[in-house]
Amino acid sequence: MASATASPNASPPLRGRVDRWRRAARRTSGWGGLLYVVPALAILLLFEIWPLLFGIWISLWRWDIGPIRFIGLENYTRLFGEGFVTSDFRGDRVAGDVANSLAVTFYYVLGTVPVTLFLAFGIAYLLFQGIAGQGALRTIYFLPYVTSSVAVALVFAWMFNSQVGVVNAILERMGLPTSTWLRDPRPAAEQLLGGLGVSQSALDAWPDLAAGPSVALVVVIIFSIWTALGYSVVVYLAGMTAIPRDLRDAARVDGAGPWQAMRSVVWPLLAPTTIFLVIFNTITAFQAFTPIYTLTRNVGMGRAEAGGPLDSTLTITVFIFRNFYEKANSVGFAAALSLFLFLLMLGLTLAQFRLLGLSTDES
Amino acid sequence: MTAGTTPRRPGLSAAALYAVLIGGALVVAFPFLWMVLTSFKSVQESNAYPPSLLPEVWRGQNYTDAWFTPPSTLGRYLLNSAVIAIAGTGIQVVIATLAAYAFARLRFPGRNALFLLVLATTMVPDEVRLIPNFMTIRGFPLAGGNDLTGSGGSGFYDTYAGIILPGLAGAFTIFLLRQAFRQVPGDLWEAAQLDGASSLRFLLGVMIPLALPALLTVTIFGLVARWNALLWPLLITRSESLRPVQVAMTFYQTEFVTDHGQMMAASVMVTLPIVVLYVLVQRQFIEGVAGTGIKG
Repeated sequence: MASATASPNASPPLRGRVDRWRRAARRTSGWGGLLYVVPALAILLLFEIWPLLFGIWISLWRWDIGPIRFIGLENYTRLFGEGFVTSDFRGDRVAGDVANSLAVTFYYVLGTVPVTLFLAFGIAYLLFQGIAGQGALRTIYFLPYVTSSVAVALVFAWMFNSQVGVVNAILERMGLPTSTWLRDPRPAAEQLLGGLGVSQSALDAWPDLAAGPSVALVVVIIFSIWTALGYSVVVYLAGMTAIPRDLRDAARVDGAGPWQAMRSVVWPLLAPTTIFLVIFNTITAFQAFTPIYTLTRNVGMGRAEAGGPLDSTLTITVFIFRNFYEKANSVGFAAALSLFLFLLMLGLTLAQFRLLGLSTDES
Repeated sequence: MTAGTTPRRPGLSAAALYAVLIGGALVVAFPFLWMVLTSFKSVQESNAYPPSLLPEVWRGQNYTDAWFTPPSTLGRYLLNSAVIAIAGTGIQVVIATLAAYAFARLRFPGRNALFLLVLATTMVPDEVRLIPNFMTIRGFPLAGGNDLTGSGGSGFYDTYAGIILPGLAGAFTIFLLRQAFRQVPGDLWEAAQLDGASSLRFLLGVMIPLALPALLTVTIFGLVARWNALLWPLLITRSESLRPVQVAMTFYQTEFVTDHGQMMAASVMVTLPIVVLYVLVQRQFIEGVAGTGIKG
């Protein structure tokens, strides 16, 4: 990515640099070229780069619709202090709201990304077998990605309705237990294990924060997988089509079946595609707002606040929104939270690059 | 599509293949099906348990009800979304085309450094920009009753401009268009220069026609993203008469929560334009997505 034109050891005196610019300007289009990029740069500077600095500034204030009082790092001490460890009404030490949001976010990302990729790879590989109607099927699988919005989220909320939802009706018909879905803040794993006959005392021994996603969050995760799937199917399918014909033929001549060909040829060759999809889907999941807002806004106990029930679907993005939009005077704290999320995502992306990058070198 | 001459291996029979793929497609398509079927049901029917698959009587009443009951009619919200999507995408594509062309073909001082700056902006996630951009839009100097220091009025808050402005220079769009422009052979450029064509004439006469597929792809992506956007328009607007349709949909959720037929009718009307667009330009769409993956 680095430009080849910049000289590596260059620190020429200013005059020399100006001369070089002049010469560059005299060639072909000169300064005129700059005119073409000015509108884009103006917008990018004002709305993409400046916000980073402005956001740091806001995070140092108690801020409502405008600045109220400069408080230095107070928002950050709140974030890393009582945000992580606080005490409940009895005085016991419990996890704070930031820690809860982090846990919910990780459950959401871990619940969405691997399943999406696994399903997408499987579907793409089956579509890749050169069957008739591949195009039509691909169209259907891709459709939810295009229409991902409030409108289709409402359909999901309706399907998972606790009283008259079609999902409960189907489960009942199959003789399976029903659920209140989006209204159920209890850990899904506990519900599932309890249904399988694991005793309550064994379940209570498990620490609260590590209890896994709530039933409500699982519904949100199912919806998110449904909307994200098509994108990864299409990208995987494109990657498979780009694999040279003779490589696949070679595997076939060696007597490899479709399963073996997949494991020894297709999957390793698509490692770069997988890396791209892991990172892309992780970033998307970290920033998800519409599915959580739409699915969970109306199920709280009388309060129309997204993130419920009992904050069990309150991801960091929705937590930022709540502090910004639904609480007074906490805009500065919301700004601090968003910077925290930024650093978290940056670190995670770099870590993914390293981890996944290394694993491709080995294969 | 691959040729059908390859013999199928045992263990993965065609029948099983179709069964899995079609079964999966049915699961994926079911919510759409359910949306359409429910939209024709009466209140009693949509609230019946267990629900029936097909409506007893197919009634269109829900559609007219859904159209007229919100504070502004659904038509108004749809119009708002169309204005925001078309104007926002149109301006964005023009701005990005100019920048991408300059980065791809023109030589000017600081070109590479500026292009790296553009790429660097993709690292800043939406959440970080949300709050500062809200304040920037609200405190925009000399707009909406604001003075030169940006105070006194409400800036571009609660205006179309406020909704559109921050997304007008997508770095990713610039990157994709630059890739497309770079694939145009260099000798065309040299020939045009010998003919004395100006750089703008070369862009309009040669580059844009040759890069049309890429331009179409970024246009479609821009339209869909703006049509589906919720968070920013929700924050930056207050007037019902200005709000796009996705924000309006959250309204059905609170006010009409018992009449799901009406809610689903509204969902159908909101989703339909995007489905039609998708079906019309499916190829560019899917190839656009596939392209990003391969390059990534």
